[in-house]
Amino acid sequence: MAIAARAIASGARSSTRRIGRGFVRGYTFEFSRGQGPVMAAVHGMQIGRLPWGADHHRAFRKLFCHRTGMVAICEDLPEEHNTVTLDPVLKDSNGIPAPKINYTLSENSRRMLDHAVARATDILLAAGAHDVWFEAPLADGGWHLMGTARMGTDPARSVVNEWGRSHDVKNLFIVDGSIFVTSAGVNPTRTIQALALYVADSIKQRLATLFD
Amino acid sequence: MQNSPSASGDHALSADHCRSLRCLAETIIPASTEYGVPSAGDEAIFDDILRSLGRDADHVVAALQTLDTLSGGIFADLDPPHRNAVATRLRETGGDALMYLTRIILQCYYRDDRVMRSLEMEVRPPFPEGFEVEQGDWSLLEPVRARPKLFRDAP
Repeated sequence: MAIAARAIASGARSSTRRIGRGFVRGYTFEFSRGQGPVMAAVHGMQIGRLPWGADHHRAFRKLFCHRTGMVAICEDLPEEHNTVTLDPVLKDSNGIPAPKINYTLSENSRRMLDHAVARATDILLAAGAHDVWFEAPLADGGWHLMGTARMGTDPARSVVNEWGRSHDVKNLFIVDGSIFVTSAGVNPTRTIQALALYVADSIKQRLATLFD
Repeated sequence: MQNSPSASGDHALSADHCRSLRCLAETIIPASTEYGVPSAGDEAIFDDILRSLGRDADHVVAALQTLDTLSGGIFADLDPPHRNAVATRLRETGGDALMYLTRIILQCYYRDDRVMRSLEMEVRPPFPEGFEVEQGDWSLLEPVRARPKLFRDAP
């Protein structure tokens, strides 16, 4: 699962803090523009930057159009304690079990998030921010569901082979984020698109022996 | 006190809850002569709030019930200093229900034309929905057709 941290800043000053990495793999930063008035108000209220009462208008005008945000997209490792299984209780109207997702933030991911927040804070303060707020991991951000059917040459350690065909079911191809071997430290859609083209090409080149 | 659904609109609030919600909206965002903006309890904005309760109505009712409990009666019947004190306690203890309530108030307030103008915003929805596009003018697609290919051909 790819996790994310968000830092939002407003206003002017600079800082230079440094910490060691203390984790493996990495993350990507994305900058985001400011929000429209409704979202700026809702978010400003949620994080306690907008008061109720007479001071609301002054505080809102201080926030609105004076904020920017950063998001760190962090790479989760394939960790056995994170699973997707069939829910033993919850079913849909046809009796089909719902997926049950168990996820625990690992120490490596926690350190990566802390590192990302520290670097983002440095960047925002160096850019002139005077008020930095952060949330890590994001409660309402993008959580990319990745892995669980990873690609590999060893049937004992992977679900699909190196061109997307299931090791166990020869006429089954999996072409989505589940064949990633880690969550990747970037937004995954372009890689999924590239994998789809690659797997489609591989199928086309093997038509005569596709299910052997 | 009247406690049946209000006749002022198709929503789930009793008349007392309507009065309390309006008072709370005014407490959260009062009018400002400095910025030339109405309060969130302004008639047009409050009508928008009532129309926008939708699926969050139960949460709003729950927050208003908490408000009445903290008030020891009906919030709208308190004098202004007591309202402010109760509103402060509600903000400290409100939880998820209050989050839904404040979100609806803020959503309706900050899309009001007068408020948007005071923020020097154009009074229209964001791009692309807010622009008037001449219907049937297919030449608008010409720049798209003229654009180089984004993807390679499949082999």
